[in-house]
Amino acid sequence: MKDAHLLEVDGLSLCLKTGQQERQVVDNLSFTLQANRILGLIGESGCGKSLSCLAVMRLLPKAIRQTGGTIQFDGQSIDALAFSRMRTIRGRSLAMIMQNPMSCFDAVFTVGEHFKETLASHPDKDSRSNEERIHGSLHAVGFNDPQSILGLYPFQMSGGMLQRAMVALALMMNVKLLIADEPTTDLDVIAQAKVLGLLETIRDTHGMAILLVTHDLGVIARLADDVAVMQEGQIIETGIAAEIFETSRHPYTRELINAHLELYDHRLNTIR
Amino acid sequence: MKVIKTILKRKLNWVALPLVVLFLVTATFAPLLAPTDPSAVDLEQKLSPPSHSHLLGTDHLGRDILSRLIWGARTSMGSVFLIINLVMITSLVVGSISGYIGGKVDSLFMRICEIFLTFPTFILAMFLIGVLGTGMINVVLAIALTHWAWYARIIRSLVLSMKNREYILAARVVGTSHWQIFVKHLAPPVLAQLVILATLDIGHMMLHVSGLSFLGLGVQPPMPEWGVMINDARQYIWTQPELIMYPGLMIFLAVLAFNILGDTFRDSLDPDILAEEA
Amino acid sequence: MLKFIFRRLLTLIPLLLVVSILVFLILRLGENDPAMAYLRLSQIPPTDDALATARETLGLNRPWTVQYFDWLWRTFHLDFGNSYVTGTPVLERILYYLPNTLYLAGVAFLITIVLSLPLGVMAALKKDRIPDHLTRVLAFIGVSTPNFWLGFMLVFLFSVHLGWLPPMGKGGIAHVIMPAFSLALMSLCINIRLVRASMLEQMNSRSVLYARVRGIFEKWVVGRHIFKNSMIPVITAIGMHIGEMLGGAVVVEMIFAWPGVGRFAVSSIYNRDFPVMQCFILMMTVIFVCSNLAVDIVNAWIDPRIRYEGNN
Repeated sequence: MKDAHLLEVDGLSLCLKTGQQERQVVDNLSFTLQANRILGLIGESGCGKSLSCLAVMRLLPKAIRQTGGTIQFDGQSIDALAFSRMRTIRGRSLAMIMQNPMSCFDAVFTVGEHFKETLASHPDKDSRSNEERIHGSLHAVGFNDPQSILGLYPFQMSGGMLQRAMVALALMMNVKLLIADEPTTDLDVIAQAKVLGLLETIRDTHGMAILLVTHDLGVIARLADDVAVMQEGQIIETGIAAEIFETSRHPYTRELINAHLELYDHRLNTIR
Repeated sequence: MKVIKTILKRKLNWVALPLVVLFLVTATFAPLLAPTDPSAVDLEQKLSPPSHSHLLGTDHLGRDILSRLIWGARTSMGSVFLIINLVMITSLVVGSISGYIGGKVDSLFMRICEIFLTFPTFILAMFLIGVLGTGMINVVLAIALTHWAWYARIIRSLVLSMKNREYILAARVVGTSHWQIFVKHLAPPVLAQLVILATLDIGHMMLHVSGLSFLGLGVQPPMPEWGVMINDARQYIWTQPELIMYPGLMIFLAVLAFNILGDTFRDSLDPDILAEEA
Repeated sequence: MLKFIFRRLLTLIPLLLVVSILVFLILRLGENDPAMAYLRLSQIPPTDDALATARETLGLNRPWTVQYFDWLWRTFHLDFGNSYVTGTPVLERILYYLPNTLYLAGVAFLITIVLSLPLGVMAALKKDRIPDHLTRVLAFIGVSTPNFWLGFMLVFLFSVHLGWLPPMGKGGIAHVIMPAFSLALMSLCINIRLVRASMLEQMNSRSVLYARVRGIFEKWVVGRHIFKNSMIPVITAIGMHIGEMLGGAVVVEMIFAWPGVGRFAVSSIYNRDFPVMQCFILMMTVIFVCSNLAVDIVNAWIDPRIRYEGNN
């Protein structure tokens, strides 16, 4: 039985306009995502991975235009959706955790206020109280004393803690799809392990679909079910993770894998 | 140079640059350009309308307005030029030493700056004039004294932020002396920043000079200065408002032109804006 | 929060002390002989005897340190001595004129805030469209306009030509509007540009992006995340505006014959009335310092990073 695609990106093309010049930054991108699976999107810095994420969220910067393709989320076409309708989907069914979490939280508001305003922007019929939902989600991501976290300002927490708080925000709203844009860059090893473990858990227990975007092959090898390899705005190969790592013939993919193997002493841990 | 190209690219500068050049030229060649002696009193001709010999008319002492405006440019530009030099030199020295050496010297210098910055600038300038006496030199000194501290602090933080960059440390490792490091690596960007700040501030300083002169605390008669001319013309606002209009217009245009130019300087070094206009 | 206020107040005291020393020294170091000035203003012929007596009376023969501490002591007791011109206590006269200046500056300040915030925000939200360009051009022109020239132009237009507003003196709205506007224009225009720049910077920040990622109501994104953060540099700049306005008030008062402390101070400088000059600069500096402190406190209240700066 084939799971329905939760996210279907078909032929997405993005164009960057600087002054008089236009440059294609993403070209004919296509990939799909199902519930309960992690799709790892791997590629070097600058290949257009983050822009693709923003395109799915419909939050592209002004200089970037979508020149082609469609995006379907949960059976609904979202690339032409009105802003106000898209807003109700963002954060509620579709969430994103971002690189450098310290700059994402607003320094003049407490972490608790971030949670409260997210809940308030998406009123829904949930029998639990706001407090229960917030505490529950913080607990689920590994904070043993949620109450103490809520009163802190972002600069009083570490990058790893904030990254987990971002995941908690997604969990709290019970989103269907989580985009993780370079979630482990800038984090120390222990924090990385925590965050990655968290992503695994929510895929298994909550059935979330996760789009994991990174340049780190090790992360992909550890977590991804499916892999899409991106190079200069194009997807050059897709497939099941194990197959890609073992049997890929594509020169760029092999280049990536070989570089990683050399760096990490010929060990690529695909054992889960 | 890239800077000149950037300046010319902005259409606004096609007006501002000639204006600035015009003012500078007028200031430098005032003795040659002015039709008559600006201090020549001729009471019989007082407050006369524009005529062949006096293109803009005369003031309440019969002096030619046009000549006074031209010489006034010299006074304004001259005093601002002196002020900027004084401010740049002091702030460069103090800020660089403070930032580069650090420690107790830094603390001391910054305390001194803090004290100067505690006073509201114009009022401090007034007070210094009150103590030192009026006249152009004292105005220059007073305004320089009230402005240098702000610049010094900026220079200091600039030097501080650059001091620990890798290429400086590398230069030290190789054995370059402190002085050489300063001249080759630190001075150029610091000077560039100083020039930008100064250009942006020219208008501001001109307003202070003419403001003090307007109050009678600055340049003294018979030296022609735009602020003084406005003060002289106050009582004639009902009958001959143009006597106030002309010098004020000069100040306005000069300040405007320098502000436009200064804005371009600043933007020319701001990478975001450069990219936008590319 | 209280700890922050307390710490700032603590640093204030030595600062004011040094300021007072500086004021005292500058005055003494000037080439002026207070005794001469005193005699001249009291219209006593400056014979050698008269000078010697004056020096005794004014206590100028004592060592400087003694003079300074005596002066400081009396300052604490708010005794600023008597004016050389009138012989009456200085503080009395300054306090007589001060409220008028504060009234004028207050109205100017109000004009600045009330006009610059909406205009700056609007210019940012409508960036590169007509309202933005118009606002920026007007703001730029305003920044370059000398406030004394503007004052006269306004008087010419509204008093001489149209006869709508009185050209001088203190009073209600009709009297205060032109001087207050002349005083406010420069700060108003600087603030418009600052609010606009600050908003634009915030609009492109990552925290605003993240707020949108979370699907926050757009009105909250703009009102809470964009606006609140963009106010931080604006509030810091207010301290600078107050300083400029205190100075600008002097000039504006001269133009409009506004009976404020600035006009009084200028005449005291003409007369070399040192006690008045001293009191004037001290008072203005204290006002400036206090308003800067108030600004810092407001900033700390808004931005928790400032509050926690010392602690972490």
